[in-house]
Amino acid sequence: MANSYINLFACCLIVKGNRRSTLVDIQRGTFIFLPLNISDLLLTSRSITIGQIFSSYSVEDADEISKYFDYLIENEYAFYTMNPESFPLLSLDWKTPHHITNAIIDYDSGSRYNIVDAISQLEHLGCAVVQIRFYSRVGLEFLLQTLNGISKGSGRIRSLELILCFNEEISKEQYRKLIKKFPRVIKITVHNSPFQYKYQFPDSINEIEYINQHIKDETHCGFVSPEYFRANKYFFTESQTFNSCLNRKISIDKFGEIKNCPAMQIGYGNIATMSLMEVSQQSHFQDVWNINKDKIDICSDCEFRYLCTDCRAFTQDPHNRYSKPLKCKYDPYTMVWS
Amino acid sequence: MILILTTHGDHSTDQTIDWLTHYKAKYQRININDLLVDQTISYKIDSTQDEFTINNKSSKDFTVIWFRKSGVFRSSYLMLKSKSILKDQLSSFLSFEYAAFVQSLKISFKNVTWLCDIESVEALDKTKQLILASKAGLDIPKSLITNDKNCAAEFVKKLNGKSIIKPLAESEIFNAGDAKYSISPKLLTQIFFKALKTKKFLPSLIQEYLDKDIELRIFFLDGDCYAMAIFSQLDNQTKIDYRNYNFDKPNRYVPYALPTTVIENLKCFMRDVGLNTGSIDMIKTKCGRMVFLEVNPKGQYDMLSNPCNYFLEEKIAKSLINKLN
Repeated sequence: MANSYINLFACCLIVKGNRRSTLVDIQRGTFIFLPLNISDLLLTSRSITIGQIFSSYSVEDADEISKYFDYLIENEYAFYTMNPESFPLLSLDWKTPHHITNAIIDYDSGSRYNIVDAISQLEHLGCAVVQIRFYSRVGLEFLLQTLNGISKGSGRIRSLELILCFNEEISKEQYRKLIKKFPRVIKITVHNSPFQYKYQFPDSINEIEYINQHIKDETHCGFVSPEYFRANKYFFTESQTFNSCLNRKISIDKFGEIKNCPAMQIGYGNIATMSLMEVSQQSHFQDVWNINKDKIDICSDCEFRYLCTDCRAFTQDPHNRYSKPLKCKYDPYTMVWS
Repeated sequence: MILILTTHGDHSTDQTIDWLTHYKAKYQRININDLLVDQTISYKIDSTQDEFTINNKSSKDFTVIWFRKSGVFRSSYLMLKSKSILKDQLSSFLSFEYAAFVQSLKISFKNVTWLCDIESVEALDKTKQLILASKAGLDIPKSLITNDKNCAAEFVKKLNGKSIIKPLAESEIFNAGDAKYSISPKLLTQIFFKALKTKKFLPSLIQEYLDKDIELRIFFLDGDCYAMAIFSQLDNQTKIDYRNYNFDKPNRYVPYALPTTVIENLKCFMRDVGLNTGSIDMIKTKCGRMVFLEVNPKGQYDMLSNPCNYFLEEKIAKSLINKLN
């Protein structure tokens, strides 16, 4: 035992904050907290045997450390091995074959742009994930038309999320049929609903949810709180180098303006006159893609920085492009949510 | 151009095609199950030509073929329907017809480079694999194929009473109404033979039970090995076979660095079986043996690419593109 090593499983990654660390389990999608000194120890434990670790501490400290080690072994965050060199660290590279990976399309009663055309452009770009937000009521006929446009494409849009405003003329059953007909619609959220309701399709990820909240416009976004945390490999690795909200995202606001996010000020051209491809290839458009959490004030000291989704639309200081998200209430220097 | 033989809905194919598109490579995808739906094959046979067309593209245009998947004909609607008529007689006839058709395709692919040569795949069986692996210097489990109770009992006794029985061909899951019966590796003890009434049985594969430290899954591509360790022994449910997945608490899957001697032996083995790609199963025992179990030429590389962040889909795309030149 004394000449073996304690090794974290490669999918359990330490993120050091100012006062404590998180140990993020990107395989099982959870995280725990660790004191900074324990996480420091674990970061070097691949080259120091257990015996060497314990011999450099007092009996009391060693006892404390060994309690943490027991916990990590017991809960399968770490294992003992004689050959740490056989277990390389996980590469944290992130890459994608797609120029654009995700998109938000906003539409309300005043919108005049051609939504079917916008979607077919996204298909052409190879954008796999699309969210369409309707702030005001739309009829079933319009939805069918829009979705038919998608189903005629090449199938590169793989999942579609619809945010719809409550419309008493469309029944739950009709929405259910809609998803059955277009299984790429993985979720329908109906906002401004007088009742709450949730339906999960058996043996699939598709779901329908009715919520009371009225989503009036694009300002309903950018919240940062533990309930929105994500611990998975794709998100964690992307966040290392890229912006965790805006990287390879393209958006069309309700006026047809092409933006990084509908809630941001800067537009790069209108969908009526410019193509999504043209806009997305502009280097100015891509600037925000590279603002990772390590570049953002305060966030760079936070132990949650690869778990939360950043927001560049609402920040504490709009004049500073590296300012902390306005709607994040966590302080990594006091470890308090306010 | 690259020809991809696969099936409808194979996610791994989709992802690799995304990379082919990214690198602007030309390809034609054939979903073998869609031959009954919307793909067109036309093969005129005479003395002057041995080419055929797939969706109006000539077989001569294909210089690289990726044999990703084939065996889904048996789950096609035609097969399922045929089972309700004349029981197995019709479906077995259709299977032979299909196999003969695949055979006829092979003839006209002469000067192509394969990723996963269809001939090598068909020539591969478990016994041959074990013999060639052993010749290539790999450690294999002590194995016996026998139809005799006494021979089997004697063999198991020599293994200190601990052995497993596993299918010589493929593991299977049978559905009967709501019930599922799985034919997969099972522990075999001497007590089993005491209870066994018959002296002879269908020839079966018996192997020594290996006391696992970790299981290894290795994706082999053009001489490179991408290895992953599976900590299946931490969970009783997955101890004998990690495919008894525990979805609530999945086994730990992490990257693994193979010793260079094992890599060399694997390269030698893969050359001998004529494969440039495949998913290899190995076990590292508690006493440090690295034991080869089998290679599956069309294994799911997705299950290691994702947890180990190896980007195998991109590597396969690049391999196909390299083979074009």
